[in-house]
Amino acid sequence: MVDLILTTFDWVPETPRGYVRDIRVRWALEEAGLPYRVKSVPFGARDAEHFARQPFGQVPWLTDGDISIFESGAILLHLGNRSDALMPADPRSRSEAMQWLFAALNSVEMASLPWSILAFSGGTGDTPGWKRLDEFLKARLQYLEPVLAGREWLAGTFSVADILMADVLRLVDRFDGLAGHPACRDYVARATARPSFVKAHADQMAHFAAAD
Amino acid sequence: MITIQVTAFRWVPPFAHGLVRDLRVRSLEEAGPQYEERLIGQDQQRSPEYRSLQPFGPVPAYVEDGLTLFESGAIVLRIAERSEALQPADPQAPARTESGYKSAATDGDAEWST
Repeated sequence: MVDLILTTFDWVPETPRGYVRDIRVRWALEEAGLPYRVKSVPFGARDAEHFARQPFGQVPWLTDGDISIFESGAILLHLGNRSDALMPADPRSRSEAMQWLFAALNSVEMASLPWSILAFSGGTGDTPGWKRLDEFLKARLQYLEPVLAGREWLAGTFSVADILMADVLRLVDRFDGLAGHPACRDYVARATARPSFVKAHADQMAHFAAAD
Repeated sequence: MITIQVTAFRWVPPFAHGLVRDLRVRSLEEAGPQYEERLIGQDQQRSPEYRSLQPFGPVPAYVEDGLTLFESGAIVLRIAERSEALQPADPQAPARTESGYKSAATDGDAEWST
């Protein structure tokens, strides 16, 4: 019996396809070899049941038996506790994976997401807001660069931290924000070359295309 | 015996008082174990020694018997694992705690602390 159910939108516009965050959960589930089903909720009208599962009206969420959990980071921590393929078992390496998981979502994505929103919406002119965000992101990438130049994966072996960091960075790469950071770019390339990412990406694209 | 060390800034401008994220790690006060502060300034923040603890440079950093951690989120989870005072015991609850925690960890005083 498949007791893992991943919920995402039934459809999204072209632009976010391939970047909707159910891809993080798909990728983790593929890496771990855990069987799962995908369910859809309307992208349009979001009902009370949706908000009961995800208080911000976003996706994804995961149900694991009678546990329901939202936030891609929390879902990956949850799955990491189920599979050594996602999080190392020894306590020291596990802590290291957890700190890099938070670093991806907090130290890096906190800078990169507002940057990406402005980059996407054409807000990149000579404005104080853009300059501030661009400097903020570049400062974070500047310190990440030697870390990624010195190791293949963040916590020794591949882990949920790499799924999140690579996914955060590939959105920056989409807007050419990694041009001056070759180690970050190489890291994204080796992470997204993994068969589990390739399958997760193809599955998300097919899922949304099927609803066109 | 004190085995836990938390790094904080020696000084920050008044607007940041009470908002720097070492405050989160002072949840150790809830959890019980003794800890000591290590107060640093900008000179130490930029040192290779501190960067080896915290690659991005902000506070807090955490050292526990040779286990080093950065990111307030990861540190608080570590403290919670050590203490039931910060984590509900029911088996479904940790998932909810992590969710609530990740939701809370996405905004704020980004350039000062993580």
